[in-house]
Amino acid sequence: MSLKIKEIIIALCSALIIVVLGYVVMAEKEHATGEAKPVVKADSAGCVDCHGEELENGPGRDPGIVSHWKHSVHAINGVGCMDCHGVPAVGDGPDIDNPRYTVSTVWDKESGNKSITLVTDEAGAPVERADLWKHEGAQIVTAVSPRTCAQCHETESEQFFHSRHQSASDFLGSVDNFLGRYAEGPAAANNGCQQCHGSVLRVSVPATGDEPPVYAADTWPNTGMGRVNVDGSWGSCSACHSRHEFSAELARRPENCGKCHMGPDHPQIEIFTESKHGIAFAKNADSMGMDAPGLEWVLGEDYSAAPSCSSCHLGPVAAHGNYAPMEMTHDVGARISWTLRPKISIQPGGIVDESGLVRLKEPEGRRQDMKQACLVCHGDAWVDGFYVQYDNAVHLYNEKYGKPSTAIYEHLKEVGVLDKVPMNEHLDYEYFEIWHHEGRRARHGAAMMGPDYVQWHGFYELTRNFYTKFLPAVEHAAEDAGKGEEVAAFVEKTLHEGDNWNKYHRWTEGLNAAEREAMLSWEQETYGARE
Amino acid sequence: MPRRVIDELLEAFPIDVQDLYEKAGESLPHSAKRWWWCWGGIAGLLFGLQAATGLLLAFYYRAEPGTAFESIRYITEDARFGLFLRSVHNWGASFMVVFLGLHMLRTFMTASFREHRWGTWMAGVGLLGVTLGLAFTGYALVGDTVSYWAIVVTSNIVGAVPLIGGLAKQLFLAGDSFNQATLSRMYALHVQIMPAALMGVVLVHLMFVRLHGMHKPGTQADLDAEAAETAEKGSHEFFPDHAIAESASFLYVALVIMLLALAFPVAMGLPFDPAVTPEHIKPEWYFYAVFHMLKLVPGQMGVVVTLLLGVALFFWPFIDQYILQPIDRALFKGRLETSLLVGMATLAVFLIWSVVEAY
Repeated sequence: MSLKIKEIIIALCSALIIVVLGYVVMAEKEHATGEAKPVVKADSAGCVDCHGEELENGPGRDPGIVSHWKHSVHAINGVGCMDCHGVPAVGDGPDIDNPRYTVSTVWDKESGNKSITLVTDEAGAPVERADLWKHEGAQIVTAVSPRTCAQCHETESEQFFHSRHQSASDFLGSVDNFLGRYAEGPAAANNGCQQCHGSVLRVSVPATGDEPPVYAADTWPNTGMGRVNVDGSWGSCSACHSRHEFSAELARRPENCGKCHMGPDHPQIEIFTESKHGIAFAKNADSMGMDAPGLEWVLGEDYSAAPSCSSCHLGPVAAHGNYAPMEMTHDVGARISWTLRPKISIQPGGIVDESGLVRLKEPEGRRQDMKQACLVCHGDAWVDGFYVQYDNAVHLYNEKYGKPSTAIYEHLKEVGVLDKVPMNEHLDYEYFEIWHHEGRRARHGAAMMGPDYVQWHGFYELTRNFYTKFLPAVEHAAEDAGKGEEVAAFVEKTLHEGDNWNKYHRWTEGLNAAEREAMLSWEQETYGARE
Repeated sequence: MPRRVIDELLEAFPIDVQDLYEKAGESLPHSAKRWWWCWGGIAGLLFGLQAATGLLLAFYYRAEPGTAFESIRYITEDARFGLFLRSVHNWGASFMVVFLGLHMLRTFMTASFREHRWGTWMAGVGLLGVTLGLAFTGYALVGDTVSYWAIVVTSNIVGAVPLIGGLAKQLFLAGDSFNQATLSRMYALHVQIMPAALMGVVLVHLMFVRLHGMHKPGTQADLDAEAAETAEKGSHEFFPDHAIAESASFLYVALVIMLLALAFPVAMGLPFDPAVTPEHIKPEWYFYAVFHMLKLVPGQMGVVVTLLLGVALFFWPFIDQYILQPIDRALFKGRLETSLLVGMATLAVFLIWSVVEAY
């Protein structure tokens, strides 16, 4: 064979090698980075073109939104714009499941059960939602509700539906909302309270032709957890799974919960950061595979270096010891035994629906589930001991501060020392902060092992404010109202109720050595016991 | 420079520059005046690039399971020019394997192993083995999931070698399984033993090239044309003609490597966790074909077949001379080169398996 022919063969083979190896290297790099391509379905192609960044005649309208979506799991799995912003056709599935129609959500607080019913007109036909409009020939909605997410994520939506998060907007009738909306002013409530709890979303100008509806500015934009949507459903999945990336990792990040669970009244993110859990998380977060897909982030299996909020409260837990695997939940209260929010903490009972299905376990069952998460990294004695300490802190708050201050405050209202208007007098604020601020901080600190929040931001401020601000303010208000003696007797009786004086308040008179010793013995007997 | 300083240096280093020039020079055939005759030299110069960048990476690298990944992370994310140097080192390794392969392809196609040049070929196959060893031990040092599983899988392959497998695996891992000493063993292999071996074998390879002189490829007509061209133009000299061509080609290649390092810098993987088996366990691309074959022929048989193929490659000049050439003479009367056909078929299988594995 001549050298010329061999040269041609060498050149062809070399070119082939380079081309093939180029393909192999690029394919390998794609595998290594895990980059997958977004799937743009035909019905969403127009949206991506117009709103995206690849227009021939200039930049798109919302390149950020499309870019977020392109990097989402939705995009990779072919879930496009119209799957969420579109609505199913008339007659496509049961009307009550079709987010095209309006529903009514009912929460029976007596039993704890929630339900939805289809809203119908006088003729019995389902009523279309007020924010449905026609855009480029397709019927769409701007504000997507959990009923749309439920079409694919049925289990998650069902769990969320029965959770306390879903009804977070129920605070709208509370003293907190009165404070924000009336005492502070509407803009404070709209920009503050409702951005976490959720607004009651309404349409101020209905859609006409191709013109979109206008959402009332005091209710939109809003990603509050318990948002009341225009279709009558409650909740916002976007509160945790921010659109349009819908990232599981983002929902797992403590910072995500910290948008709302922070500040003087519920500083969970600060407490977490202070705790051993938070310290371990800060150190290990980058190596915990937090970007794992959906259910593939299992405590005790995929990671165990540190927990995030979702690890203990929501996440799946691997089988360990005698425990079977515990599934993930979207009910944030499913593993919480105490409620630390109210004036006096209680352990709410379980919820069973009409069909006998357990929607929320009894407190002991919820605690057992939380313990199952704890026990991945801790021993039985440690976990049981923690719960004794935690229960003791809640009892201390309830008995020493919560119950007496509430009883005295209610009495002042009853006998007319205080009027019935909330938050208009000095004492309203003194009392409010005892349970709503420092009282919660002490309890939350104990729940999440943040010692500084139990002590200096918690019980220290409780003690200072209860004895040197609240009680003197009660005395002054009663005297000003001419009811000094009566109220003093009530305070005396309240603080002495049962053995309360000796246990909690007698120190105010000063204690001799024998009395200090007796108090210490009582403390050790009471708080050292494991029951 | 003052004249007396130059005079002093010439006295202190009594080197005859003219003599050195003549010794370095070698008359090459005109057929070597093609750019694909530079591939072997480029592979050698790429080794220099790898040594230079590797030396700088060694300032920060710490070869222990608990520190390796963090030191690589430091190099990649914090150290000044660390990402660039690591990327050049990473791409340089791939290019070194590619140019070695291309050099081998050229020498194979032009049958440069004939005419008693089997020593040059065998040293070349040895260089391929050491280079692949350097590449493997290089990515085994990273301390991420890929490197951990590369070590584990390779140790199992080594362990499956008949007779000496158990001992070889122990030597390879510095124990029965991956342990504290494994990475430092890989490191010693990567920066001490294998580079020294490579330089030694390169010397042997070059010695054979100089002793035999460069092979003149082609038919009798090509050889006649070569003789006529030499008579007309004189010799094509190694120095400076071919050396300049080699250097210029290398600079182009180095430029491409640096551009690739900037455009596609090497990424950080996940730190290894023995408890987690990743979804895709794959070696670097140059092992894809062998990896695929081990999947097709599982167990110890696959390892034996791989070893036999390596042995066949090593002894190819003899297979060609005593088996294939007689076939050519007897069956094809010299019209076909069976060796060439076998080589092209092997290359096709290698590329197809690589693509299948990548896909």
